[in-house]
Amino acid sequence: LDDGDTKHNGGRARLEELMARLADGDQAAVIALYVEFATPISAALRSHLRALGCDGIGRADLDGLVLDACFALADCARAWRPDGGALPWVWAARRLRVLASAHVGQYGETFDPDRHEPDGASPPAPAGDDADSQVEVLDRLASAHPLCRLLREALAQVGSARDGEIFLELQVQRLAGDRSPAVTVGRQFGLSSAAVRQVRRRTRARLRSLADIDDRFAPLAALDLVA
Amino acid sequence: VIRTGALAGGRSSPIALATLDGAMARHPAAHVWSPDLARASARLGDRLRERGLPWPETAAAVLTARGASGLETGPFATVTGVDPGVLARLESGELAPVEVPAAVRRWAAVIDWASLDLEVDRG
Repeated sequence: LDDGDTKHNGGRARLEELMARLADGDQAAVIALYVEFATPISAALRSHLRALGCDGIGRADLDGLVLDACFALADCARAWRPDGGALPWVWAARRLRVLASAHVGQYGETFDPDRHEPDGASPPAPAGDDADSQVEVLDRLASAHPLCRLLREALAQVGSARDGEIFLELQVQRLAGDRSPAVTVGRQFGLSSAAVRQVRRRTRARLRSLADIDDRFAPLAALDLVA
Repeated sequence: VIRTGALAGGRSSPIALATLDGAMARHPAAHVWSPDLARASARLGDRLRERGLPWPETAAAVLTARGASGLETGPFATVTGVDPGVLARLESGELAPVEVPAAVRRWAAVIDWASLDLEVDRG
């Protein structure tokens, strides 16, 4: 901002004048700040919103946030020093971030498969080292559910323990809503997503084949996991 | 509605005006921001009410009118012809809506003065 800017261009001198009036308790200066400096304040707010993952905001919502920001700036106007160099909304960035964060807390974006491609999305963080492996979970379920016991046996026959673990983990991630399960599991096991998908294809084909040729494993053919 | 020869270069093919209007409406230049003073006044009124002012909505409306003008108390009183003492009492929420001078109401006609039991004096 240059001192030579006109009032409606949001000149630095005008901004300092308004901040001084706010510091003196002139409530009308809040409105003047809103009317004359909404553009740079909204730009600062958009930046905070983008940093919080909110790329789109309605005009009415943004306008409300700008008003909130003006009141927030009024509340701290006495502490702002014009010779400090920073513009008030930069100096009070944390206050504006709180406002943006409060907005994002109520913000929900409709899922759009075209925008949320599996490879572009951030997958959920993998489970920690102390979490049970999916094979261990399956082992526990096997004692109570015959089909789980059958699957456990089948996995042991068609591939390595690691392949079985990858195969199950992939399914768990997919059912948990992970849009890029292969990426997540790949990170977990130090593999590329392509390698993970290959393990899944290979294991599933072998399970299907086993269900076809061995009547004992035939019930597995009904599982989505195998079909 | 059909308009002919409306494009630069003298193209004579007919252009549907509705198509042009639609394009103009979508152009960024069509979306000029304007302050929502009614909302600003309501928000300011909420804050003043918390301070226990007798007439917070009136004070907020008058402060919004002056804020939108960009003027300080003295110049605003001069421009509107309102006694500075009355203006100060209005802004501090001491006076009822009926005390708001017509000149102040005219200054910020977008504010819903009617909700303050006043009719906007457009005379």
